Amino acid sequence: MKIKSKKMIGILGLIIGILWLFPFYMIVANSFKTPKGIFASVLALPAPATGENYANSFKALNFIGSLTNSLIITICSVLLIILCSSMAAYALQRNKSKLSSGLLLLFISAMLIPFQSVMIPMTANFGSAHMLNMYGLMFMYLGFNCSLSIFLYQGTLSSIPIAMDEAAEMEGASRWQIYYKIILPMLSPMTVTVAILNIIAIWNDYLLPSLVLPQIQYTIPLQMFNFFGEYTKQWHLALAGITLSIIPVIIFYLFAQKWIIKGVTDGAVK
Amino acid sequence: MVELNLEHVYKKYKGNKDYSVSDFDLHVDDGEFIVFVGPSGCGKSTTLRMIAGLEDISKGDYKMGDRVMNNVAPKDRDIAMVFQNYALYPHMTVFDNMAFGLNIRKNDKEDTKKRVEEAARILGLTDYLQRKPAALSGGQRQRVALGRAIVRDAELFLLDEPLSNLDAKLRVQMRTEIAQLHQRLGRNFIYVTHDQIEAMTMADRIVIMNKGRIQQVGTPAELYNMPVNKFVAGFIGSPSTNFFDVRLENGYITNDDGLRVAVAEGQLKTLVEKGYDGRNLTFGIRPEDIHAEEIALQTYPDAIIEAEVEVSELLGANSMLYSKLGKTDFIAEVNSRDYHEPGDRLKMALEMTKAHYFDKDTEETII
Repeated sequence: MKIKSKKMIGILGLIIGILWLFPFYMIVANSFKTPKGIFASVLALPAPATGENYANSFKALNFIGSLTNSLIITICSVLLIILCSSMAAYALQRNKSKLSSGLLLLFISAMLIPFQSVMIPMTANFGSAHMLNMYGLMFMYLGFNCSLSIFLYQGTLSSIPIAMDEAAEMEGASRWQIYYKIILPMLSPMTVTVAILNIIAIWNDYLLPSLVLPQIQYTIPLQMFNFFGEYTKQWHLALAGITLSIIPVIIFYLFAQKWIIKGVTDGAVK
Repeated sequence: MVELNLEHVYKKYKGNKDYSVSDFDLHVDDGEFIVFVGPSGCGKSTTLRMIAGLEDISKGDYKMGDRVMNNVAPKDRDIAMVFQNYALYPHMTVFDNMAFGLNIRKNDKEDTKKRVEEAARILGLTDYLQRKPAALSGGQRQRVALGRAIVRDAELFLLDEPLSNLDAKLRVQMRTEIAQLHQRLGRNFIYVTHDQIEAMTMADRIVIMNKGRIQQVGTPAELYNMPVNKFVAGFIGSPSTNFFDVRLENGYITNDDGLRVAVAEGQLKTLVEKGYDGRNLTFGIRPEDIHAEEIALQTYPDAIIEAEVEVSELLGANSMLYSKLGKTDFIAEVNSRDYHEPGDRLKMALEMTKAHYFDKDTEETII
């Protein structure tokens, strides 16, 4: 009975795994097909496979340019979020006062504000400050995403004993040195979690950049929209473009995998 | 080398009505090993943290030499501190942990390396310098924490219950190592513990605290032999002193519950002179001053009680007899050759010359 139920769980897991991977298969498989091949059968393997879609998509997307824009915006925004939210969480967690508790509550409640409700007035404000560009976008991401990051960091910080700060203080470290040399490295697992959450959100974001960025600073998701006209949809090129745009995220994930798992399970057991 | 003075130091936390530490007055000589001991919440760690500069002093002065240190930042006090949970930096190797303070102070790299290696040699950590704290045992981590303090070559070492996370055997070993380290360095050590055995074995002088106040300051022998009040008599010594509520009558102390023993001559004279004849008082006797051997019964014929053994613990050389005299529980530490079973009724002799007497109301020592 026990073996049977184990087998059942295994089979169920396999089915869920296949369902999970299926969209990914669809994207990659169809990215190697001609438009005719896609409409003939979406599910079939590409026969014959063509790499031409990638070359055309690469050109149409202005891939190097848009990849650079995506990378600059994502990396800078995430670094800014990590730096600001970890510092803010450190200050809020270590300075126990009614003010800091109130501020933390404010940050947490800010997570409940829907982005759509503020996007128009905010874009107007940034526009009047001549900040409708990638730098303005970075600050917007900082504002929108640091609430969750502060909340996550604050939880981890509460498990770091205050004796760490005091030991470093006794040894002559300044407040900044304590944060930078002791606390920030100890937050690494959570930093990776914060980074991956924000990288995925920012890398894939379409709506906010579409409101803020001038065409010259378009990111990959914005460029991708060129494949979808009013009358024609170039699925073969779009899917090749999507595959190309996924590659950097997968590379990051593979590098950070060890930390992500640790970040997710950290504190679960003693 | 430096002398320390804590002059009528008080500490009150924000929002608290009472002082956590009151009128703490202590002079520490050059190179002394001072132990603060007392039950949890007695203010010993708070006092240590005030010395370190991690807590503000509410009232009074703390001086190193002639310099008032109240408003000096912790990093400028020339103090090294070992924390209860070691506070090792988990992302750094043992070497980097030990070198951290020197690196922060931008010490010469070669000199730092030399000092860390020397400290590692003293503490037997040479083979572990490139390991991270997670790969060390509890005892080794404790040594790294000590090493981090040693390399600083500070004037004053503060140790806040550094052995409380170690197992019993390792604790004994580290106790000796810390005492040796103190002798080797010749610096002032202030050590906080709630374990009176640690205090007795390591200290030049012990500061015993209760409810934020110093109860007594003295050498381990002074505290053991001449406690100033019932609290000190009960705290110092393991197992602790047995207390009986008694009345002094005609040279005898009695509690109408099976206890009627003669007071030793010299002590009786003092008690009578101080007006305790016919009055109630508290009588204290240490477990090791209660004997069950025949020879003791013959030696102290006026100080014999008959008690019932409830639990008997064989500890090796000695046995602990958890006994009952009337309604009062007490412990006798007897030679294990006189092992007795629970339920035995036996005669025990009290070595009355070593007895202590306390005022029933003030709990101060009478004699």
